[in-house]
Amino acid sequence: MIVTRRFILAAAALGACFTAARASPFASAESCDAAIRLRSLIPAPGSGREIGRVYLAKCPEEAGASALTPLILSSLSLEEGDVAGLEFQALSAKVAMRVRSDFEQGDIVDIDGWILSRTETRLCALWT
Amino acid sequence: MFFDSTTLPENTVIEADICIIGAGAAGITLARDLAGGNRRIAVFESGGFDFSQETQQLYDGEVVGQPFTPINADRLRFFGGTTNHWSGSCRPFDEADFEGWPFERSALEPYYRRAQDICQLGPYTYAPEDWMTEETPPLDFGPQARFRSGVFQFSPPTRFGPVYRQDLEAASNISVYLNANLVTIETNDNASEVTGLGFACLNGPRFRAHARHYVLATGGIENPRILLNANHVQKQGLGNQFDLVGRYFMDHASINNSAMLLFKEPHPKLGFYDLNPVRGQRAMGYVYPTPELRHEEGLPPFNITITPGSPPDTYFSKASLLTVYRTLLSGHWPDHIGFHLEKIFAAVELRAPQMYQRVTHTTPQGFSTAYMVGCPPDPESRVALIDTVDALGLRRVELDWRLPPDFEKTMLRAHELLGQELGRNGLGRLRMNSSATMQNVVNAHHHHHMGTTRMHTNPREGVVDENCRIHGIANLFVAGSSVFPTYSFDDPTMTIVALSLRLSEHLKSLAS
Repeated sequence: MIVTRRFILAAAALGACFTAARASPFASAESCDAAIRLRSLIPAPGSGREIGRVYLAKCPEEAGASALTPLILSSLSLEEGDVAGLEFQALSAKVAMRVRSDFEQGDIVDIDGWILSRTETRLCALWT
Repeated sequence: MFFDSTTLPENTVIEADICIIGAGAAGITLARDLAGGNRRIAVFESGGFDFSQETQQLYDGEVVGQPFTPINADRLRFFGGTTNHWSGSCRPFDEADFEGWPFERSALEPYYRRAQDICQLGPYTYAPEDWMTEETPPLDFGPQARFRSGVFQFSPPTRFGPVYRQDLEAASNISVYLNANLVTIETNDNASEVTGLGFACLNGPRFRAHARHYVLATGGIENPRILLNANHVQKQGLGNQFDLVGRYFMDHASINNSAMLLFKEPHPKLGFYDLNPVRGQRAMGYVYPTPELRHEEGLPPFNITITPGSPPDTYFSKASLLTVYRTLLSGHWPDHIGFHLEKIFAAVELRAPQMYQRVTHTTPQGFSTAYMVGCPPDPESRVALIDTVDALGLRRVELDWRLPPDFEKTMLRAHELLGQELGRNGLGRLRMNSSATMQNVVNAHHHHHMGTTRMHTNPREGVVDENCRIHGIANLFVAGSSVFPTYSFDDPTMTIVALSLRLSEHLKSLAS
């Protein structure tokens, strides 16, 4: 895979997005659907999609929102219904904690050399 | 006083109490420390005050196995030795680095303090907090940190030849013989004592020297070469009854531009990791794994430098530039010109983005890492004699530098762990470059030749004892990094100087 500048910048954004939560609430376009809310945490959907594709090539059994969403929610100790009641900031903070925990526990994924947490790559995969 | 040996009458015999062979960091430190007493010190240096291509070619040899810089290109054979192109990075070894040595760090502590001055460094502290400012804090790896920050101080760098020449000149008990090449070590019948040394000048006279004690201080490749060539009585070479001389050759493996780091925005201040003056002293931070992490993961000692955009390897290009300049100045065409030009042009290319950022005051897109790794000693990593001889009839050597078979895997794991640490602390993300492979390592080492006359109390395990005396020979000592039984990620010069001061104390006690 050829690493594009866009890919690199997206990964940089991944590094920042969970540590500096967006102040605004979910936009109206971001529905109450858990998968859509979760993937909206990724600030660069185009690059997120590329990362997601690489991840799913490694873990094809997780393809599709129906497979990914329960895995992500489970790692966050959330039920699907909980997501709709969470503000962006609260959800973002939960994900940030989970991402750090992934790194701490070594639950990481190598995406074209990038050392990423499994949770953040799964969120990217929701864009595919 | 200095003498040009080429002007000595043929078969001159020089009498001294201590003969020191080699005038680099070790030899000059030793001689300076012995100055002023009533012992007659004779220092023999192969070169003159300046670079000479003809003398430098005495260093020619072969490289086999792991690719390595041509071995006449990364050492210098004139007064001051390799300090004539030394980068100046200094730091004493840590307590844990003395595992495998016959003494603890505390035995070297007083000498490290003195080495600090000799290397013209700042205050004797290497605690990161003493070298940070409000503008340059080290990275915060948080609680249960698995990586920490450390700091090197940088010598001006001290060119031991020009800086300390006057001291040796002024010492009435010191005679320095330039252009003097050691060609034979004479011993008694059972090689238990050295009885004299034979010297030769290129296109000049041969002469001899007698002393009570002799010290080899010619570097990590030349020390074993001299001992292996001294095979008139001990056929396998002096001090080599257990086939250890030349073995355990060590150098720092370097993995440049091994990974890209992207920090969160705004990214943390990283001035701590730049080579910057702090309170008048040049210092540079680095990151290293904790001893606990190393133990847990079975990692070798290593440090990581962090540079905006490109790897910090201009040292290699500077050394090449100096070599080419000196050679051309002496009226010769440099050996290995392709190697040197590659280093010079690579540095220009690598530094260009940094220069652009400085000029335009733009923020770097990313930072690169460079690893400096200390590998476990390996007896198969070695310097050995070959059949070709130099202009004085001494057999040349081949260098077979080896890295552990799992080196690449281990270092990829090290990268992964750093990536985890950055992510765990919300600092940023790491991308391993595809060049972080053995292919990238093969031409990257730090020109620190160590281990080839290793120190151990047991003659079956080491060439020299805890006092740097060659086992089984009453009056022959070795100074320099060839006696290191193990090493860390620190540059060896400061430890070479400290060990030379310790050896000096020992020689004084013997003489008294």
